[in-house]
Amino acid sequence: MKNQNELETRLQKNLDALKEIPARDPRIAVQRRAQFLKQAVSASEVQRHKKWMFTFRKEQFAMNLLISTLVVAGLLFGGGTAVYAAQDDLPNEPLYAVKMWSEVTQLQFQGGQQEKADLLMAMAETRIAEIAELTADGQPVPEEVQLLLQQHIQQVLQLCTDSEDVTCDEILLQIRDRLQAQDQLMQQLLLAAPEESQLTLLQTRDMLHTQLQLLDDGLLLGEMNQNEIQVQQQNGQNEEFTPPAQTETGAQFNQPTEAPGIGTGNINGTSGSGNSNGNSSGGGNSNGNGSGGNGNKP
Amino acid sequence: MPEEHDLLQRATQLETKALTEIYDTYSPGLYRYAMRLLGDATVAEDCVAETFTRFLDALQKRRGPRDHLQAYLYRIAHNWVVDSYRKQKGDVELDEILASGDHPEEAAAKHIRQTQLRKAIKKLTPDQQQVIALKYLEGWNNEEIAHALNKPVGAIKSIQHRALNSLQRVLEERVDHEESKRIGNPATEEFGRT
Repeated sequence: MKNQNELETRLQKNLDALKEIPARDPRIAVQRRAQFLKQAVSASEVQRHKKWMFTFRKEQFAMNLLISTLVVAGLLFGGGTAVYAAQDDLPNEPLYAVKMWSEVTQLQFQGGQQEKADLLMAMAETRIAEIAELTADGQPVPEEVQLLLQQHIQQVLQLCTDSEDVTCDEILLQIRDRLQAQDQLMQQLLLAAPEESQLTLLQTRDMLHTQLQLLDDGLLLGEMNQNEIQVQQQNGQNEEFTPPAQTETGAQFNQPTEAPGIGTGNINGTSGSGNSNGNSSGGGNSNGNGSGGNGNKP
Repeated sequence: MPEEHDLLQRATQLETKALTEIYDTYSPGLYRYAMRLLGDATVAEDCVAETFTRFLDALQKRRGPRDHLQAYLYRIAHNWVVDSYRKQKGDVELDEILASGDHPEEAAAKHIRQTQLRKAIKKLTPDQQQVIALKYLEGWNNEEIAHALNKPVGAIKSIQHRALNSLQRVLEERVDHEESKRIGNPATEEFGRT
């Protein structure tokens, strides 16, 4: 340990020689200091810039969020306002397309058969109302409105044709009532309509008549089918199908009923024999135009 | 050291005033340290400048020191010195020796002594060099040196012990070598023998 201390003392003395250094050149020292300060200021500015950019990005994000929210709100509320405002528009007005779009969208979101049927009939009534309004204003009724009306009615009838639902007949009866109400409205419009609108209104009324006739035929055949099943059950003939009885005119109830636009005229896809009120004399028809009274039409 | 801690906090934020204060506080000591080890004013200035540039760079990359700023700066400086040893040019110009203001003979003798010491230090390991420089040239205590080297105090004592023995051995070898070349040179007699 003593040797180590002596060594340290001796070396310390030697190393002291290195402590003596020439004085630092003040001019160079100042230059170097200035260089460092320049670097420091630059680094500080970069840091400030980064901070500012970070803040800006944060603010930009907040701004984007705000703008997005406003746009979404605008679409929701503004879009809703536009759809609402479009509800009173007529075919020759700018927002009529929005009205159509909203109706189609609404229809797509309807789940139940009854709800869809109600909506389609409401759409058909809207078309009738549009025709009435255009007629009252002395304006021509565009062909597209007429086609739309026909389309709505065919859609609602098709809805029940494709369905096996037992409540479909009730829906068809409701549709028939509403179509009849529309038919009456068309009669009134025809009386008051100017001459140039007469043709369109007549065509519309004929279309309604045709659809009503199809509906009646379908309802009739459905009722006939139900009666047949009842008779079969009563006679214990469930295993084997027996040809239905003939009417007074010789036409069979299960014979395909031809009507314009519907092929067999069987709305619910069943063949029938007889009608619901037991009046077989006025039921089925052989010429397919459904002109014969069937006893269940009000 | 609460003042140093506060200074370092502000420097971390790259506050120009704090950085200037750090430069003014530590730059003279670092220059001295580099100059003692390198013996060249220009290179020593380069060492100081590079040390502060690296420090600034570390601050910008958020990798700067959280405490013991002085130890950190001297560590950077010493790493630079070690690098510079590898690529150091030859001896100092005669003009620089004469510029010291001493009598030419004294100046030359001093220069020879210093050169021999520096050469001897260069033969040590980097850790030993740093311990010798900080303890015997800068007068730091073991704890401060421990922070600079990122080693425990016990390890510093051990390094110091080995460094002294190595330095003595290197100096003796050099004296023998010089004696064989220049018998009777008074500059070599000062290192002595055990």
